[in-house]
Amino acid sequence: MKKILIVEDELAYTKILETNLIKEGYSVVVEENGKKGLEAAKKELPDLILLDIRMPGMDGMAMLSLLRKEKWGKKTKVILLTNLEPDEKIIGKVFKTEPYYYFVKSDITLSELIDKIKKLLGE
Amino acid sequence: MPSQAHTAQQQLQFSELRYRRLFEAAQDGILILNGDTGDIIDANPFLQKMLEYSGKELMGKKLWQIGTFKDVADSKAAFSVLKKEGYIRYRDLPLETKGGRKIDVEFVSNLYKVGQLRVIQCNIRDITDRITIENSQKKTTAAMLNVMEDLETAKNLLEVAKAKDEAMLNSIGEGLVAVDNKGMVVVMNKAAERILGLRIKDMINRPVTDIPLEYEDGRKVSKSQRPTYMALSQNATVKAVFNYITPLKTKFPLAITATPIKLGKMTIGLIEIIRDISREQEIDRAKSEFVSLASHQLRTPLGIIKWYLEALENDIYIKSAPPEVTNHIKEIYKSNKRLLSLVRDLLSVSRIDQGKVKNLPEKVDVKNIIVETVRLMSTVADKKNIGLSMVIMGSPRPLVINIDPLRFHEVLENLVTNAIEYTSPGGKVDIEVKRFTTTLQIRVKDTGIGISLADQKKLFTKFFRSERAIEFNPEGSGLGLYVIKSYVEDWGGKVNVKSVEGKGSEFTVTLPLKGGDKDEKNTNS
Repeated sequence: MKKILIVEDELAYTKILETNLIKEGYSVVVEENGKKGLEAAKKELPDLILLDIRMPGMDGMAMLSLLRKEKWGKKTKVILLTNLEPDEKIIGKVFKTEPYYYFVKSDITLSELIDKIKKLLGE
Repeated sequence: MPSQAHTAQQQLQFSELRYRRLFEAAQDGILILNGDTGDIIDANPFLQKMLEYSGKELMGKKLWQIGTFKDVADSKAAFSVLKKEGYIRYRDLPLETKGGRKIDVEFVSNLYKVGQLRVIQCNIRDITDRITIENSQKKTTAAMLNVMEDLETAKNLLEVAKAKDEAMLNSIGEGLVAVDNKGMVVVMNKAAERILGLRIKDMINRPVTDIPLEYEDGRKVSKSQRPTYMALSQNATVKAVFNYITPLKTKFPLAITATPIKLGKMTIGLIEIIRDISREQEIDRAKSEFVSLASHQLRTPLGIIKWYLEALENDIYIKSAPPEVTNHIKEIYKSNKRLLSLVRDLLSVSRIDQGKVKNLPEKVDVKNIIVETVRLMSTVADKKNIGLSMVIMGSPRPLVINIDPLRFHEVLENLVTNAIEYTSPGGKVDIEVKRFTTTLQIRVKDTGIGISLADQKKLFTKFFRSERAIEFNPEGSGLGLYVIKSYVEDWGGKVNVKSVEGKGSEFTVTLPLKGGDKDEKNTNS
């Protein structure tokens, strides 16, 4: 069973993602900020991380940079899932940290997102 | 040998003769009177001519008897003064000739003795001409004085006008610098002095290049790129914003509007209005940042609603619910979509205004993008029963140009969406693409509601929507055309609109083709 880590501070997003991903047969771990997300990633070694950017405490970009410095996190698949329009600063960082996708949550539909996840995890 | 008496006699004769000659030839009138009686004893030819009397008419008469010296009492009085004092002089004595001609004379008379006889010699000089000249001189002087007075008045008026101008110039809040056609400063007002931190008296007759300007990146603005010289060479108003370097080496953005002053066909100089826009820019930035932040904040709940609605729509229970329920959900879904697209537009605008929109050009076949966009839009057009057609003029080869494909698509999609949106069912939307030597032209023509001339002027401003447009489709944000215009102008192109109310509209986007933009044939071979 593939494991997905959701790092997202907005409870409503977490809930709907969790429900739908479980329905699709994934095991789901949820954390609410970058710091906890990084710890969970180390412990759980997920196949995919759905990562929000703007979060209290450590934000998604900071967590991703730290993750890429770890041996166990270098190759972890990551989808950035945010409501931030990708500006220059973010694009620069995204380029270095190599996530698979950058999605603006309000632009993508839930089913489109789940399709991408399925493809990415090779099903 | 001649006696002494004889010699004396001879000398007297000579003297007499000499005197006589002088008397006869004199160019002044000479009159000899008996010093006791006042009778005229002699009058030289010049006098006779002057007074128009013959010698005979004068001889033996008294001065006041000949009618020339009219005032008898005055003449008698003068004669008695002369007898007593031996000398009388009139600088300007009016006389009348026999013929009645009025003349002015200078009259000098002396009383002296010749032997026992007292004689009076009167020298009379006709000064009529001199008086005339003097009078006309007086008149000229008076006239000159008048002119001087007028000039003085005019000068005072000018000074008042100048004072008014100066007061006006100095009361303008915006800085004003007037420059001649050589680029030298001729006038500068107080506001300009304050804004620039340069003293008026130091700037007058100095080249305008003494006002140092820089680009955003710190490069110096060259002479030919300065608004002054641009306006002079183009003979048209030029507006620009540059950083100004103060004498203290600080910088701030300066908006400059340079307008040529024309005298007939000649450009005699420029008026430059300058404004420190640092505060405006700050406010703009704050506004854009606020909009950007607010939009991001709005997106989160809107995005959540979107996903939950999607989940609801796919829910088995909902799917089996009565159509009323599914319709309600569809309506909510539509409104949510509208809000999201409004927020997206707001974000685009705030990003454009903050200069955050990056142009990411790449070599793309715009024909492909156009065909693909039109294909996508045809579903919408079909649904509304609008005929959507596309013509690409010229070569059937791909047309590869260097452009940001996403933004190009956005421009095209926006134009076609608008055309479909504001056209009633049964209407037509035609897209025509034409390639010229140096430009690419995309024309989107509809048979829609049209735009009034007054509205056409405001069409490309942020949030503008015409009354008609709001009536026809209350949902638009009024940002689409602003975004199109910003993008197209960023590419060095332009957007034009032609429209007749009730008949339809035609939007033309003209993009410049650069050296590298070619038909596919050339790039491949």
